[in-house]
Amino acid sequence: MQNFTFLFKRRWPLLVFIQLFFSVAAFAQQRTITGTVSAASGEKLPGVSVMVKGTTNGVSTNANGVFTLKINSADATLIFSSLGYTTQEVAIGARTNVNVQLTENNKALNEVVVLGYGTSSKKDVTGSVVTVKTSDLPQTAQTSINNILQGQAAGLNLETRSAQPGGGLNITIRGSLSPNASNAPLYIIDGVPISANASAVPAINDKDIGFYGGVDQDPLASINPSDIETVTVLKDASATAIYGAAAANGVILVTTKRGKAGVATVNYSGSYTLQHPKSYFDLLDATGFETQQVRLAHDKYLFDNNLAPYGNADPATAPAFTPLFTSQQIASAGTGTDWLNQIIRNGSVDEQNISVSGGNERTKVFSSFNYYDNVGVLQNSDFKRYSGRLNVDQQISNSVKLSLNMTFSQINSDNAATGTNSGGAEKYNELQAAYSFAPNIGIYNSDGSYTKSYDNIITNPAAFLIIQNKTNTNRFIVSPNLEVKITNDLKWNTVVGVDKQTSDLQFFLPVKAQNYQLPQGMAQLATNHIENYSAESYLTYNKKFNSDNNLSVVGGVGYYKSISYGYGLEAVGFPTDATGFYDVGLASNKDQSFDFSARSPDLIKVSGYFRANYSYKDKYILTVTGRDDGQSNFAATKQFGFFPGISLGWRINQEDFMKNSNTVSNLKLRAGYGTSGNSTINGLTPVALYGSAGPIFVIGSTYYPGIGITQIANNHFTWETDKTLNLGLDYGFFHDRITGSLDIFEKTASDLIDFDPLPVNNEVGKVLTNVGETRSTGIEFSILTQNFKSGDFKWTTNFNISSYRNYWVQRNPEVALASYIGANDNIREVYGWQTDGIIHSASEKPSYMPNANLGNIIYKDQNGDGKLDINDVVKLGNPDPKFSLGFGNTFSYKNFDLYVFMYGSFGMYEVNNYSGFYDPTVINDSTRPHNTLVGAANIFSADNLNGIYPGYAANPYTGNNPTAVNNFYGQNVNFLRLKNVTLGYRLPIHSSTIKSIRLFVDLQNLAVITNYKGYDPEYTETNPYPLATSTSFGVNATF
Amino acid sequence: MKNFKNKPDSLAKYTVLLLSCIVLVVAGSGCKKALNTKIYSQISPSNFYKTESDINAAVVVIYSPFSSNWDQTDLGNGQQSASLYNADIKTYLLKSMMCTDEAGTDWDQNITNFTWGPATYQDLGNSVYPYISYVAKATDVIANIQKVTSVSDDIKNKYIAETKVLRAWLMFTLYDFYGPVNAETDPTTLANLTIAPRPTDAAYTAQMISDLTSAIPNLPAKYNSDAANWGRMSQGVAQMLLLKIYMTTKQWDKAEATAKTIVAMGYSLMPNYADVFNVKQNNELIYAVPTNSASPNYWVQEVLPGDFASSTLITRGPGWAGYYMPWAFYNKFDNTDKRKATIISSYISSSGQTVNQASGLRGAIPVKYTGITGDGPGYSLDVVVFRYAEVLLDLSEAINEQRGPNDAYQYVNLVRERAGVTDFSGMTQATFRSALLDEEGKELYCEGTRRQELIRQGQLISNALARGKTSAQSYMTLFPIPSDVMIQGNGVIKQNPGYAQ
Repeated sequence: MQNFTFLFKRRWPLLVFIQLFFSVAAFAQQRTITGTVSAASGEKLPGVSVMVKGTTNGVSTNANGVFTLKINSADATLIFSSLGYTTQEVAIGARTNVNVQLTENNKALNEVVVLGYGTSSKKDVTGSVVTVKTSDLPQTAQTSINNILQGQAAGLNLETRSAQPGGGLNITIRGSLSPNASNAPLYIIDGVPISANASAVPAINDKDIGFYGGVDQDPLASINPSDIETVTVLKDASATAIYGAAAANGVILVTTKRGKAGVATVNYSGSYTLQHPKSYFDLLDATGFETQQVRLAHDKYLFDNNLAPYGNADPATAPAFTPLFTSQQIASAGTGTDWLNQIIRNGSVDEQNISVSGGNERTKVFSSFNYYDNVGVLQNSDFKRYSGRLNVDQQISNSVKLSLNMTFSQINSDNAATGTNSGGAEKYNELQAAYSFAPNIGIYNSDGSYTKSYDNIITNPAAFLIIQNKTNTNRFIVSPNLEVKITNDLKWNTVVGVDKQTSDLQFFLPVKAQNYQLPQGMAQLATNHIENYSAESYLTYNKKFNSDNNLSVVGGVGYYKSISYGYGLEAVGFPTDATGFYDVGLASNKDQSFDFSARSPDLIKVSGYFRANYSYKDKYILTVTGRDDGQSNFAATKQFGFFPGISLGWRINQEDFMKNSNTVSNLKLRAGYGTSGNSTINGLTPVALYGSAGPIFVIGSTYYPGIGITQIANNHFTWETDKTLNLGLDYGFFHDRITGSLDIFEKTASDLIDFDPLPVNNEVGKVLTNVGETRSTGIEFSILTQNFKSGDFKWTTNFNISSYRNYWVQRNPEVALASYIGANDNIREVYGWQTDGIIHSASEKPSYMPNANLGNIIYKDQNGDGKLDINDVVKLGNPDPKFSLGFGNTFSYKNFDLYVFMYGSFGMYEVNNYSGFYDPTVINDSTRPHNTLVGAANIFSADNLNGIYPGYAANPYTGNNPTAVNNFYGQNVNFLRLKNVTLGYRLPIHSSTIKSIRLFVDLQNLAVITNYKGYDPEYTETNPYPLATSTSFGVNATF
Repeated sequence: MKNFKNKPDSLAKYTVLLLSCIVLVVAGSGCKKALNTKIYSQISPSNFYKTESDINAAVVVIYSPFSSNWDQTDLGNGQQSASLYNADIKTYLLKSMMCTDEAGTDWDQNITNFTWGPATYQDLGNSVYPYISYVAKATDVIANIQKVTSVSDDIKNKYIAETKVLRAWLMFTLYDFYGPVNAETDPTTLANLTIAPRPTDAAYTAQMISDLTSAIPNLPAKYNSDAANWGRMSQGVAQMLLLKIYMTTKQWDKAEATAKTIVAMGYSLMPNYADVFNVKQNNELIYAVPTNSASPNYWVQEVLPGDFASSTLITRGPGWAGYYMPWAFYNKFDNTDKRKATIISSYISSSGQTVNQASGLRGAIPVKYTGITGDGPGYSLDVVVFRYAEVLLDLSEAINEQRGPNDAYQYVNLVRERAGVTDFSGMTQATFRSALLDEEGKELYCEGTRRQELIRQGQLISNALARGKTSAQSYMTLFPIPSDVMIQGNGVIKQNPGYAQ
């Protein structure tokens, strides 16, 4: 290791830059060779690398397949290479014109698939593995590779948590089996596991209820998507077992671009994207607000005073009803202030990406710089990224190669707090404030201060524009890989990974914003650090014994450590807004100001692993994998686990009976079984602990902190184990014009990481444990067809569909199952009472709801016993989709190309996210009404007996529903989203310096076809970040 | 540049090293040491409970449910619950008011309309039942203090006594809302997974009484003149809780004796009613939740209307318009009643209008804490919980229930005289009973005792029905056990009578 460090520190940079310099430098000239490179079909091939053998001299062909090369030796050999074609060497002799025809590789089979600790040719892969090439996909205006993967691989499910720039996603492979541990896959970037794939962005400490927030940032937003060459998804445990205890949720291998031997290429892509917010929540205007307020307040008055139709009190004895707004006021109210318009605007993305790739046989370099500036459609949610990368492969000697990957990124973001919050409606965020603030009030008072709504808890939406909430996140990843070729068959790799993330929060709530709870202003500063270290060393042995037996073995050891810590402060009470968060010493309210720090227990893992792949006659393939992991966050006697996997492949088309088939070009049957572990519970340890609650009680005038028990010990706590059985079929027909695969699987998670819910009367509430079993069964199908292949017109279709079901196999015996829960129900099943509309008139009142009021929801008495209780609870639906699909089409005609991509999910149970706005108490409060949606006009009231939403009158039966859930606003949802339509045009340029220029327009998120009655079927939270339709204009140029 | 090909020796060495390490790891030994992790920002049981300040920090956790601040996050399960005496609608304090005639709100129509059921107050809304875990925490703290060896017995006994009073108070709070529940008072069964059934009423009250009586000898009488320790449990608090238990269980003789014990402790009525709430540590206070600017009293902010600008009593910015006093209740006060002067019935709005009942004000504004300065939202005015006037009224009630009003006038009239209203005299047991119920309502308005007073006199439901709350049922003097607790209880925990299972 010491030698290695020395090498890394001292010699390496110089070496690289010298080589890089030479590789792009000019050279002596003697004669000029020209020529055209074409395919067997006669098609001219652009971008083919033409190199003079043994030198760094070379060019690429232009759009018409033509190259011009100056050489200085008399008889040179040229090397023609291009992805997808067999590399060809041509001795030119004295010729000055060389025309070459390249033969196509059998792409599908010779394609190299990245697996853990090495690669394999696709034909030898026996597990369930999908590779996504980013070059095939539009990447414009996407902050993270995760956003690009949506719908691209069967079984890979992405659920965007927020449409906020850089917002986080839930990514699951083949469903979520673990109720309490993470269901996120393991990410490996260039062979280095990102063992704690977490965002370092600090959340606002919301101890004070006045303000809350923090952005939910995708940790991979720090990786420039344009740097990524391929993403490989390992789905079944026979493939993931080599990652053992971290791999239960599947593995995503990210491979970044590398330099290629040949002439240096410079690639520039730039785009500008306009983002138009889609029509957002349709709020009442001032007239509508006042009208609905008076209508529903009057209905509240009738009910509260037992007046008809709700009761039979004598109107003469009731107090008078005084409307909040007179009819004259309503008549002159107009439209008022559009509060959403104050905070939602047109956004934009400015993206600039430049990369340089080149090198010779000994030194290959890829470097890039990325600038990404997204002005969010919601004010205060901008996202700016700067990132750079340098990937170098340096052949040090014939047997020693050093590869080095380095990337640095900085993300500066404004973090408008959105989404649901723990304080409920009392911590209004920017969007919630805009929904609720009365539209009949202007923005400013005559003295220039912000107005207050009837409910002065709501901060003026315009005042959010002066609240600063910024984070700067820096991430640095460096991973050197030293490869030593010990013999021709034996390689030794040592890979070190260092991944450091630091994020700083700067928050200032000015006095001028007049926050109800913190009128004196508040500042927060916080810093979080996440560090991942890894060191791995492994041997790879490849050997062909006679022509029939092929053996490939890899085995090694690894050490991993994740560290996470942070600190921060809150300062309250500012005499002036002038200095903002730069001078927190000004804060005068020392009682309310505080600071904090924490460090999670480090997560340490040690591992040994191996994989052996044996193929016989290229027909029968056996892969055996295994990993032994030891991890620090488990009970002392339960820290180690062994995770084996085995898989078999049978290449049926290699059998004699099929070998000469013209129809079947590939047919491989795969079967695999393996185990892997889930240990993703960062920060949890199985030992008893006491924790501090900070200041929690005043004695005298001192605010004392409390220390109390937080966790009781479990001396048996260990991994969650997943077992997967996978059967797969890879197929190719008509010379692989049709390819694809079909997989069926059964994945079972046992010893689930869970909490034994201690009885409610216990002091801790829960104890970590391993109990229960869940299972996912499913089917995945993908097909890639080349519908038109030759001539000017080409058309390729890519389709995938998957369906799975996640259900319970065995429950925690310590937890009493409610009578309505079946032992093998879906994991995310929703239980509750079914509904049957509302009571519009006394005659509609069911006999089993004698005390119900008009406007109440009718609940179904399922068992007909004349009462509503736990026995009437039924399954309402399952939020997991029944099936999901992705469907992409690529067309090209001459210089034009067109890509159309859509994805969809079907059969999910979801709740209408407008439903909260139809609660009459939102607007009928006589002293502090909140604004609501125009749909509120359909709320039932005495003067709107045909209303469709429940009225104000209390429903005396609701409280008897033990689940407190009903399906009045629930539905089964299907959707199909048109995600991308990209039209490109390659300029017909014939130049030796410019290799290609492509102009494109990319339309994103054009339409969604759905039966969902709320805002958007994928953004069903109560206050979703506004979605935008994006139009990008861009250019890709290669020099 | 190293050429490994030329150095077979070192190569072999590396290879052997690597392979042997693989073997070691696979064998699962040798790497154990590497897996020892350190606990950085948490505390392990081995190094806690060593000093008095450790003990204090542990006891502070048991105090925290009574804080005036918004809510508490349970250190164990992370559940947030509104503090018992905060002015939020979810709290014990507010729920105790809102099902009675003294207060109304637009924020929770289930509590005002008696339409609650087992599922109504779950999660964040369920801010009383979850404090059952604090009874278990108190049990654990008591057991742990006993084990400390490096602190003197006197100090340990004082903290144990404080914790016992807190435990009894938490148990009384649960008892008040739900009846006897399976609160955990046995340190040996703290980690049990089995669900214990609900105890009998007698066993539950005996446990509270035993905690209180055993704590009293180890506590100072009161902290009214100890500024640094104001807010700790005292003999006065323990006696007050005993009085509450005896009143609730209608053991009138024991209630009378306990009240007389408190009378003998030297508390006195403040000459001026408003000062009870404005003067810190005054001699009428048996317990008030201490406040400061970080953990203030939010009551005034919660009750002032959203367009409030000024009144004869207060001038400040608008409030949150949470709660009001129905006019029917407000009109019970005589005009000469000094207590009425702490309630706003007419104010000038921010647009300069006079707002009162005639102009549509939904109810009077029970400000109570009148000594405020500044716009809030919170004030460092301690939240009054137990005070001497309540003892005098309880004493009168206990005497009247046993032997009629003659001996009881002297106590209630102390309270009436301070309020500036005429003495009670010449009543029957029944008329005194009814007059005293009104008197308790007026004296202790919006202090969270109204529900208990009405229940004691069998009036909670009839009073609600008379106000047109047609859903009120006789069994609703207790709240239902929350349905999540019932489901976990799996038949072992019985629901309160009348409620759906």
